[in-house]
Amino acid sequence: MSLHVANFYLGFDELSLFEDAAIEIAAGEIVCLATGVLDGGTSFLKACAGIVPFQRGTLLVDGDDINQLPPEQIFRKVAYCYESGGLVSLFTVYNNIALPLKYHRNFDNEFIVKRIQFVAEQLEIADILEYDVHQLNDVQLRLVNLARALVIRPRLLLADELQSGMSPAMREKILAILKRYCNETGASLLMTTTAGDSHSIAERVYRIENKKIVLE
Amino acid sequence: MIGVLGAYLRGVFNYFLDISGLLALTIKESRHLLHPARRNIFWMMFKRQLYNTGVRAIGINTAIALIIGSLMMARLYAVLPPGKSMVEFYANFFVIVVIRELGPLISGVILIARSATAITAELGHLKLYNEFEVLKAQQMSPIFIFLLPVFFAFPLSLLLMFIFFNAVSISSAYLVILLDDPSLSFTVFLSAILAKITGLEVVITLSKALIGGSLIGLISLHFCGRVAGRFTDISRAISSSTTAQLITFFTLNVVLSLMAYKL
Repeated sequence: MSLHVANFYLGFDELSLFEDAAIEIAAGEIVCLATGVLDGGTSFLKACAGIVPFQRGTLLVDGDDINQLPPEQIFRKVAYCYESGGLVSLFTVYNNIALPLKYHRNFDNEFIVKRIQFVAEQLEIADILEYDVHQLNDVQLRLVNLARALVIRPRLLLADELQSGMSPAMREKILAILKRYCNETGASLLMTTTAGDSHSIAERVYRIENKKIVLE
Repeated sequence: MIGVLGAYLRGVFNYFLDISGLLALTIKESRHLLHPARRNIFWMMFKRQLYNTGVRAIGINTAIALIIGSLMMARLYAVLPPGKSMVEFYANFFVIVVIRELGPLISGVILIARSATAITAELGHLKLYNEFEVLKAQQMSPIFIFLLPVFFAFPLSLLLMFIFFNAVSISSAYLVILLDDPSLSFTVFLSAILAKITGLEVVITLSKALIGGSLIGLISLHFCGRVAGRFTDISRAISSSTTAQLITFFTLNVVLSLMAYKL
């Protein structure tokens, strides 16, 4: 799944975050976007996921304009992992992961349970599936966000500062899972990173500079 | 002065417009119920809502119905001539005062105080912490997941509360009557009451429950939608929605009763 962003403008009220920004990601590529403080990395990923509207520009996911895609199509193609929050506090961890699948796909319950269990065991969160959201720490929140994305099996995975707070060993393990996922499925990964994060799996690293996305 | 009046009227007009829009949106989102998997999600949320709103109100509903039923009968004895069989009068009095007016009003107040405030706080919290956005990010409809169960559970809960309230207050009234007239059987008393309940009575009670419950739900949803970025927005939403719900529900009750029994 490719991502093509060109002539991209994004801002909120008086604050302009991106002006004429562009980035190109081919199918199966893993790309990191190194971000600083409040420079718009999260908003950029959310725009790519169709969550935040942008003012101007072209944003094509696999050649389709994200603004023209019906919700079911966006769901099947793109998944966004929140850096913080991202879960509904009324539901347990399991329901947070299962509900999007139940909502969009006609999978039977047994299939959903197996798929969630498989991903949860990979990410080592199987023992917190029945927890409430308020019982999770920041790293667990990010892992649950990732699990929810992986069970959907998206073609474009957008991960926001996923590595924050992880130990080096855990970081390498999670990155290896992501690399394997992209290799096996041909999915693309765009991951924002911050100081101290690993870029070891990335084929290219970009950074945000003067409201544009430039190659590091 | 004219400016202030204009702003107030504009606010009232926008409020009614918002409630109508919310009603239209809720009805539109009901289309998801045709999708079997989504219907299961709705059912899960609806059962949770019905349990919290209707079932868990049984305790307070029973307590108030016991007090109202017994107190009214006790006070009635004070004004009735002694030694006279008054079952017809009791039944008539009961239907007019309790079943027509007090039952719906008190059940509505319990629903507003117990459940509507809780829903406004709960959904206001979800709005404050951007949890509606989380659903949108999964391409799920927050209206369908959170609002539709409230919209359907509130009227049904209110109807069940009416029925329960009436049943308990009839029983408690009968117990008080027994103190004065041990010869009166419950069957005779109940039959006398049921004989006074006409089809119109049923239609008006249903209307009060269904229209009133839906409006209470919609008003909660409207005010939780106003929660922005501050925690105090939730308190303000609860306060404003409770006021609006009480005014709306009392007005609806008075209007429906006047239309049905007076005109």
